[in-house]
Amino acid sequence: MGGVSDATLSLETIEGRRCLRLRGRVSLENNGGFIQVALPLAQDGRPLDASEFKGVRAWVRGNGETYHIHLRTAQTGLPWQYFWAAIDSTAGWRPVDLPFDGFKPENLQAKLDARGLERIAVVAIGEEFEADVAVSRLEFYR
Amino acid sequence: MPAFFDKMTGMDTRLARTVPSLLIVALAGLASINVSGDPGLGSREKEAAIQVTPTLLIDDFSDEQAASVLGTE
Repeated sequence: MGGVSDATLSLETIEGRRCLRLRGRVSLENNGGFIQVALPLAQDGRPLDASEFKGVRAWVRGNGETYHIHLRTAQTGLPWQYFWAAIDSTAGWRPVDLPFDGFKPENLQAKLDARGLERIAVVAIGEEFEADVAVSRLEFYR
Repeated sequence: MPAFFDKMTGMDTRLARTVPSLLIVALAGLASINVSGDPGLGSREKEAAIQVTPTLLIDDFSDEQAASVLGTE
């Protein structure tokens, strides 16, 4: 708490694709260290069961930095618990497939259970840098 | 005349036997189609649906207002 990272969020059309763009500066000062945009997956308060799917596919473009996709599930009760996978951004749009079994647990010891997904987030985290990442489509793939 | 009558009667009898037999065969055919089709049809439809929709969209950001939340730390 108390970090000083700053960010802006915008809905834009880039190279013909509608997208959500996250820009800002990640700062480690004051115990900070991330910026993120999160989307709810739970419906009517119930976690989403995506166990029939292999993983998350994200259409991404960015400034060449590495970003994370975070998943919160029914297993992640504490704010600092989540499952994450890294994505490398490029100047052009490209789809990135992130299989559920490749997500790593953070601050918990468990394997991701895709039957209870609650939230997905695109995150810039871990070091000081200028973040600029856009996601044009998020989906689960088989 | 009686011979003709007999012939006609015979024809009528054969016709009367043939038509129900054809109907039975046709109905049996339909029944066999239904019986063999019902259980498999549901699975085929399911499989087709899975193949048609291999992905589940989370968001394509086409709406002006996304249900997204910005967070910083």
